[in-house]
Amino acid sequence: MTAFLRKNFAYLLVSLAALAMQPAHAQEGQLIVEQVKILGLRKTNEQVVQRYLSFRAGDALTPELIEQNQQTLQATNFFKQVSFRAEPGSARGKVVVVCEVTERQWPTFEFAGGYSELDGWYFSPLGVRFDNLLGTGHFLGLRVLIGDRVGGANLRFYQPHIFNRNINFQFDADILGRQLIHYFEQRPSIQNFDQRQSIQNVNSAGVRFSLSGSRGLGKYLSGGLQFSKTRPDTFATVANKKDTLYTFPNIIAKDLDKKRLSSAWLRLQADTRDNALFPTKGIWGALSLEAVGGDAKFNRTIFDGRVYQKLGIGVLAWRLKLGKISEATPFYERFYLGGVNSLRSFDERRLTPVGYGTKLFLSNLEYRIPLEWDKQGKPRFTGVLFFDAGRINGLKEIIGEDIVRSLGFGVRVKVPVLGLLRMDFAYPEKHPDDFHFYLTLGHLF
Amino acid sequence: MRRLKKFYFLFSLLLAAAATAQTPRVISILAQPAGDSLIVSVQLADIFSQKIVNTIRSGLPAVIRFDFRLVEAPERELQQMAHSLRVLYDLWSDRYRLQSNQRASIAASFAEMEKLCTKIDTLTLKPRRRLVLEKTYQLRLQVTVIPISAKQDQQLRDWLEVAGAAEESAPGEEGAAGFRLNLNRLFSFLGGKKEKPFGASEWAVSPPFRVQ
Repeated sequence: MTAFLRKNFAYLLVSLAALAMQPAHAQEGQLIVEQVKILGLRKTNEQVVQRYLSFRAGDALTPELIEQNQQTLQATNFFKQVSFRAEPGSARGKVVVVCEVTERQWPTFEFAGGYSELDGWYFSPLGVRFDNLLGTGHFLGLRVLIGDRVGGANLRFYQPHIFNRNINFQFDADILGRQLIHYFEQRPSIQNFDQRQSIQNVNSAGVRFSLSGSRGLGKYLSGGLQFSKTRPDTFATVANKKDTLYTFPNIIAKDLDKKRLSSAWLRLQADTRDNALFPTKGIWGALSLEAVGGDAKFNRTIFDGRVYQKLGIGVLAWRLKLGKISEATPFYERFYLGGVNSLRSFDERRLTPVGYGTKLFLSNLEYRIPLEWDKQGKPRFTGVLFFDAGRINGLKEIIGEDIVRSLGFGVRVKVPVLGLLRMDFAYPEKHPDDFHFYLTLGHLF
Repeated sequence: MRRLKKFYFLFSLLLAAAATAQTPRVISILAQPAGDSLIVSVQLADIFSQKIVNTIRSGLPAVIRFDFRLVEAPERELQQMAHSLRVLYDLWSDRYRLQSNQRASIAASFAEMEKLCTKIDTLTLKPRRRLVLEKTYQLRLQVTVIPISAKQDQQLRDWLEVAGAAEESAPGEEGAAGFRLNLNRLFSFLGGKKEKPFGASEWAVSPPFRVQ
């Protein structure tokens, strides 16, 4: 009896295993991928293409899924042409998907530009990209930056799935000259702010190595090392007055020598947004912890969280940024407040204390109402109402308040090439007649 | 050596002939004004290459796109118009479904479906402006057959429109947003307008016509 049971149990197990290993059968009206053929590869590893495809053998297939995959592969810029077709499979409803690509053989050139909270407007008149040069699906780009408050060059190498593991590697090398804005004559008033802006150049060179996960728990984690050398100018130019300052407050003067810094950083991140450019639901959040050593020793903690939720005819979007950094931190590594990508209704960094801040709180609340849609179903024209609030240590000496709030409205217009053009009218809560108009690119968050 | 050259020449000719056979041909196009509209008759040949036939037989659709140009004779282009016909083989009922923005029909066999696609008698186009009595017009047509989705052929055509999603960077942690313009693609886009899209017929022109 025992032998009979043992034999039949073994038979049952084998039958179940065979059932599990059987390829999926197409139900009526449903197409199933039997095989994916990739044609036209000369240097690119087939796995590189496979990684970008969202379907495998056994998956259900729709024309829309193929459209999405075609766009994803085209967006890599590895190929001049990507096209999909199909062949009948071995049974009804089974499909052999054929993906035919034409690889790029030569580097590509690009023109780039944008607006950064730190550097203002910037342009890269010519950048050169060697993406997928070796056929491993890497991204390699070199570009020169010219901007409002920045100039220099940047080299970036990014290899997804390094050594065929679910780990991405990135290397950055920068040589940059940045202009830092100071407001030395602080006064608890917001009148005549523009007259006392001083500009100091801070030159730096550095390299950064990063690793990040791409699957499972690893995709929430990234970390790396950074080595940099920074040398600020020993003078500052006073804007509008053509005057030069050679004497700095102690908080800045103590860090005017050349500093070599090495840092290790760890970052926890999560992203559940339905779309990176036009999110309508989900969250994006990152907690960064950084320990810096070398000629200055300090720690930096930054939390940046964003929540998006459909509400009525629009999307409610909220961003909260919190930062804390050690007192020993050089001024050029500290926090600042005020400006189009920070707290609107004030000039760039106008709410930043002398020597910059060590504690930051910033909250931006936006209600985005799409008013017109493009062919791809993305908003072409969006109206926005917003409310910003911010705080930085030393704020009371600047404006006489512990926390600053502002209100405003704006529009976002999708334009060819540039992307999203942002126009904002912002009013400080306590001085509603002193409004600021901003013209920039992209959503604030 | 001479024999090798001859073989190479013949082989090239064969290849060229094979390549020509891959693209549809417009046999005739006739346009007739009727009120505010144009009634168009089109006859095509070699419409489905083997790749398209395989795609249709797998159960995925193919799209036949008709790109029209209304021209005031001899050369002034007045308007671009497009019409598309989606062909889908229903594997389970063994029928072919044809769907356009003007009508839907069903064919019981591949041959019947091919006939419906190659001979189109009463396609109605609506010009934006009313045609003028004393002027002579012509209609140009290019037909493209695209496997699975018409979007596969829009890679360069609508590039400036669709590039936003791929080239625009999302606002990051550092509070930066910007754009990247791929100059190679821009030059392809600007220079590629005269090129014939893959799988497209040569441009065909209707006989001149006037409003009666």
